[in-house]
Amino acid sequence: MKTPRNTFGWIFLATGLVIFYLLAASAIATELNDVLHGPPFTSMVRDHMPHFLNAALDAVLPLKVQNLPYIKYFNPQHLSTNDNPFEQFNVVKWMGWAFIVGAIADIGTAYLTRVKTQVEE
Amino acid sequence: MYRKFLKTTKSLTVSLEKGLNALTTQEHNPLYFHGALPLYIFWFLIFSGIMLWMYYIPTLERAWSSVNYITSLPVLGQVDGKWVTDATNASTGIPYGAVVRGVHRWGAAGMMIATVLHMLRVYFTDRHRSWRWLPWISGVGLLAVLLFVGVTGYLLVWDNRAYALVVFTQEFLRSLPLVGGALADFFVAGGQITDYTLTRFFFFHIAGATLIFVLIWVHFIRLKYPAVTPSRATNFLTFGFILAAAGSYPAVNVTKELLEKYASDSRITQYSDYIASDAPAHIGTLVTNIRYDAWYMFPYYLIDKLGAGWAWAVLGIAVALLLVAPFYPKDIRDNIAVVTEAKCTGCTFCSLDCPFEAIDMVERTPGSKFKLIAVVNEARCSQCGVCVGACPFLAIELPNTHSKTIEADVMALLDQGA
Amino acid sequence: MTDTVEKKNKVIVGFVCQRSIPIQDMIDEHKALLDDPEVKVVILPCSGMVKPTQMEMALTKGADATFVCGCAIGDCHYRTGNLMIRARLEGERNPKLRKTTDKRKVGMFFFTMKDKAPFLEALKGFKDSVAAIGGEN
Repeated sequence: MKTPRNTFGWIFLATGLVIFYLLAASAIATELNDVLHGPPFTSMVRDHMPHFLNAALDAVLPLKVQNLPYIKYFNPQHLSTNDNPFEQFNVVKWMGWAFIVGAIADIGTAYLTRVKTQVEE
Repeated sequence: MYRKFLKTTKSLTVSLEKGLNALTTQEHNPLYFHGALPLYIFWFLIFSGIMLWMYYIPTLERAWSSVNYITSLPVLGQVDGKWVTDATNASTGIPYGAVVRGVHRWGAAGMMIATVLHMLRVYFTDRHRSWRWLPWISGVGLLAVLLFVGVTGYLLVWDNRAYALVVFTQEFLRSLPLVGGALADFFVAGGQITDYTLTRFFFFHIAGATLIFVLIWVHFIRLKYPAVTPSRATNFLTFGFILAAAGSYPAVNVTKELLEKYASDSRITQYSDYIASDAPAHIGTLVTNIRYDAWYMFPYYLIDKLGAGWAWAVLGIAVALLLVAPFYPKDIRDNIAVVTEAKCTGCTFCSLDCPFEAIDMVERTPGSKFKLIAVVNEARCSQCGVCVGACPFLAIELPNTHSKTIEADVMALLDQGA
Repeated sequence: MTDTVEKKNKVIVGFVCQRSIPIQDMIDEHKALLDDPEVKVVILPCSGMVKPTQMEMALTKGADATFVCGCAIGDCHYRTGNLMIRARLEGERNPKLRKTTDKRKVGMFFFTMKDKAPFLEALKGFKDSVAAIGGEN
């Protein structure tokens, strides 16, 4: 039964991690995006931050929520919580589903770890 | 016949878990963490409760509106094509307030469900009897305190439902002979409902939560290496479900006025199905068609259908049955571990391995060859033999399953093979 | 120096917890497995009762291999017995196996009372790997 579990394990792990990223990134982007690209951080803090830090932040966070290429599947209006506070419920919901999928990915790693039946293996 | 019933329930439980083992592996089977799960959910209740505590005002006048302030929807209008908060609606809410209250509300439901499943699982697998009586009895206490804390949580909202529950509770308490009146007054901090009533409920709620910690300490005290947290995958699942529930069904207050004003706005009307608070309470006006939360309000359902006297009887009998469950059927206690003083070197291996804290290491008389000796607490001994497996010196044995007999059995099996 | 006993048949000695697999229904009157008579068992109240020295004794007195079978991990009837024996055999807890013991011949299985078929399958896998060791010698 080792081989089928290995296959399932890789499938669970890979798809789990991908879906976890999509959901968690959407949730974080919807909430944090405008915080880090809008007041008070735009003029007050980011103006005084070193260039490389700003560049790193812009590389990691999409410029706006609508820059996430797949966001239309979760958030058709591309709104952040600054635009529409109702998005806060989506933020939490997606984060919740992200962790449920994360659990499946974690179980995938358990599948990949062989059940030991000998002391020396 | 009772033993046969226990055997059947154990068989069904194991079948369910075996199926889940194939899916999640033994290490991550959530059903194997049935005890740690309520405690894990409790952490969510504590953190969300502390956050709610920051804004809650325990007075008759402000209790409902303070909860409403935390959790009301961000009601918007558009000015110059941009969304702005509706300036006419004073209670525009705290960001994520409805989510925090949702975590608290759904966490409470989850903790009660997990606690009941834990209790059933322990009972069905016959792990509550004999030497395990202390975890079971403290568990009954935990269930009662959890119920109490949950009900007082509903009272703090001080809506129509809370007032109805107070009226029913006072009737229920008053029906007790001699002490009933005093208890009913103690419940609301006086002869009538005042601001001190809410302070009292607040005290019950927080003190009850603290009492849960104390009882959990008692619950664990006879268990070595207790599982205090589930496996990581189970934690992700639990965390995920609580967040998904709080995000999908946030504890918002969509009042009638809001529904009328924003009847065409689906972002508001979509939350009209689940309403967290009823209308504010008015002392003297009893609204009886309240929404019952089955997990915490089932005693009130009993009071409603059976009357206070019979409700006391049913609850009393249920609690009594729970309290005597560990003591029947009795186990045969003829294989308690015995230490041979002459062989014991005080190495502590048996004491470290005993799953039920039944072996203490005690100082020997001064001048002895070894410093410590193992002493078995017979009432706590489960007759499992884990101590025997740990002992390198054959100094502790189960009388009816002696190491020498085991060795002889092994030799006999090998001779057969020859 | 180990005993060298002339054996006609292979013997594998198992130490089985009475609450793990339904062992009482799986053995004949000589404590041999009905599905595999080469495997003979000693039945104990808990897998945690097994001393590593007992398993070593089985090996030195002529067993081809030895194993312990306990409850599923997370479901020991006595809470931690299976975890204790696993830790002892893996060298993480005292008492441990001796360094000279051939650990390839020491097996451990953790199953529920509904896992008769998975146990037999795992046992077969264990026996095959032990037989492969014999081919190397």
